[in-house]
Amino acid sequence: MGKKILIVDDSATILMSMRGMLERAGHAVSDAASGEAAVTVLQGGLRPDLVITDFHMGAMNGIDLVREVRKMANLRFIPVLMVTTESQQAKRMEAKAAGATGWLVKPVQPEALLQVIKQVVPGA
Amino acid sequence: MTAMPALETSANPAVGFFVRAALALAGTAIVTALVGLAIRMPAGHVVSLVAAEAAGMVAGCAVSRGKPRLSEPKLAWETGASRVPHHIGDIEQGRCSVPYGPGVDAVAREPFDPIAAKRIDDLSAKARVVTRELGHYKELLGILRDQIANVNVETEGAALDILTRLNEIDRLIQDMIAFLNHAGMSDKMVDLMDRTEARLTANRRLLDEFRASRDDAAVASQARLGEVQEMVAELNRVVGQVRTISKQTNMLAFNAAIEASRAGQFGKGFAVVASEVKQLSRDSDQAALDIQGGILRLQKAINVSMDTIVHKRLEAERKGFEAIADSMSELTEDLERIMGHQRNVLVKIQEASEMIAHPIMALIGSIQFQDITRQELQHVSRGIEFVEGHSGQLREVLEDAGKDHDPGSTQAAITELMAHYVMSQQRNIHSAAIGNGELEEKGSLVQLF
Repeated sequence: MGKKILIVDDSATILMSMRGMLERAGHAVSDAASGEAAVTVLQGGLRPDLVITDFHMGAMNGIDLVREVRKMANLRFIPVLMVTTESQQAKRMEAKAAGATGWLVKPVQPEALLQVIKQVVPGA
Repeated sequence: MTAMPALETSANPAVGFFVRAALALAGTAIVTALVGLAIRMPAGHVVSLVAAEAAGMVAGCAVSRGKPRLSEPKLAWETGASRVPHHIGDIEQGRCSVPYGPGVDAVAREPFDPIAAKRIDDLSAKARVVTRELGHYKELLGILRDQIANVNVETEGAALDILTRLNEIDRLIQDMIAFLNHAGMSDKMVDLMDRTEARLTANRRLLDEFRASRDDAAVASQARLGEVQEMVAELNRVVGQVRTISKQTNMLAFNAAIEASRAGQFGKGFAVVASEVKQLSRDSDQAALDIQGGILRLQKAINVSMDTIVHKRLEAERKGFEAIADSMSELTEDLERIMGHQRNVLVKIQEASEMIAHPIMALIGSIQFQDITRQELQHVSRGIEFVEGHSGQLREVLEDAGKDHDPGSTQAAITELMAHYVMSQQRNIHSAAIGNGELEEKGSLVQLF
C-alpha cells in the first residue's frame, strides 16, 4: 500500500533517483533540498509516514533534522531513515541516539530500500 | 548489495585525473616545504640554504642548528671535513649526529671562499626561479578547482538527464505491462476465445442435428418406398386376378361356343356373343399383361430411384457432413493453437518487459554514483585549496625573507583532509597513499536501529 514519504537531500540526482524508485513502488513522494526546507514543510502541515534524509547537507545536517522531527509532537514516532555516503560507525551511533530509525549507505538499490521501508513503515 | 565498481575513486577517470593532479601539486609542495624549513634559519641565509638543498647538497647539523653570521656567505659544512653530512629532514627531527658546539663557530669564521660564494649565487638564482613559478600556482590550481566544479555541474546535469529518460522508459514499460495484463491478456482474449469456441460447438451441434434429421428423412423415404412396393405387389395381385378372370371368361366363352354349336341354327347368335366374349377375355388378359409389365417397370424404376436417391445421396450427404464436421474440428483446434500461441507471445512479451524493467530500476538507483563522485571531487578540491594557499604562503616566505612566517603544516592539512572524508574508501585510499596499510571496514550497507 502506498505511503507518504518525504525525501531530504541536497543532491538533485538523489532526489530524482529516490523519487523514481519510490513512486514506481506506489508511494507518494515529497522532497526537500535541505534540512531547513524539510522542517519548513513539516511545520507547514505535511504528515509523512516516513522521512528519508541525507546526512551531509548544508547548515542543518541529517542528524539535526532527526532531532527537529523528534521535537514535533505529531511526528515523534514516525520512522526516519538516514541515507548517506557516510559509513563511520560513530556517526551511525550518533544518528541512533538522535532518534533515527535506520542507516543506509549510498548508492541504495530499489530492492534494499523498499525492503527496509516495509520493515519500518507499518502497512507499507 | 554491493557497491558499484564505478564508484571506486580509483576507477573514476575524472576523479583520478584530479587526484593525480593534486598529488603532483602536493609533491611540488613538499619540495617547497623543504624550502620552508629554511625560514627556521636566520634571515639572509634562507635563500642560500634553500638553493644548497635544491642542488642536492647536504647541510651540516651544527650549522643548521647554529646561528651563522649573516654577513659571512660561507658554507661551513663544506669545510668541516670531520662532520657527518645530514639531510635537512634529519636536522628537523633532531637526529643530528654532530651536535652544535664550539667547533661550529670556528668553522664559521673560516676565510672567504670564492668558489662557495659563486655556488651560493647560482643557487640563489635557482631559488628565484622557484619563487616565480610558485607565483603561477594560484592560477593553475584555480583552473583545476574550476574544472572540478564544472565536472560536478556537468555530471549532475547528465545524471538528471539520464534519470529523466530512464523514468520515462520505465513508465512506458509499465504501461505496456498493464496493457498486456488487462487489455491483451486477461479478459478480452479469454472472452474472445470462449465465445469463438462456443460458436464452433454450437455449429457442430447444429450439424449433428441436421445430419440426424437427414438420416430420419432417409429412413422415412425408405419406408414410403416400401409402402409403394407393397402397393405395386398388390397391383400385381389384382392384375393376376384380372388375368384369372380373363382366363375363366375365355373358358366360359369357349364353353358357350360349344353349346352354341350344339344349339344349331338357334345358337348362331349366341356363338357370335361367345366369340366376342372370348376376344374380350383375350384383350382383357393382354391388357392385364400390359399393366403387369408397366407395374414391373415402375417397380424397377422405384428401386433404382431408391438406390440413387436414398442410399447414394444420403451416403454423399453423410460424407459431406463428416467432412464439414472434421473441418470445423480442425478449425477449432487451429483457433485454439492460434490463441495459445498468441497467449504465449503475450506472456513472453510481458516477461521480457518485466526483465527489462528490473535493470532499469536498478540503473535509476545506480545513478546515485553522481552524488558520491561529487563529494569525492569536493574533497579533492579541498586538498587543492590547501595547496593553493600553501604555495602562496611559501612564495611569500621566499620573497619576504626577513620576516617571520608560518606557512602551516602540510602534515596538518593531510590530517585535516582525512578528518573530512565521509566514505570508507576515501579513508582507505588516503591511508594507502601515506603508507598506512590499515584499512577500514566498510560496515553494513543497511543497519536498522
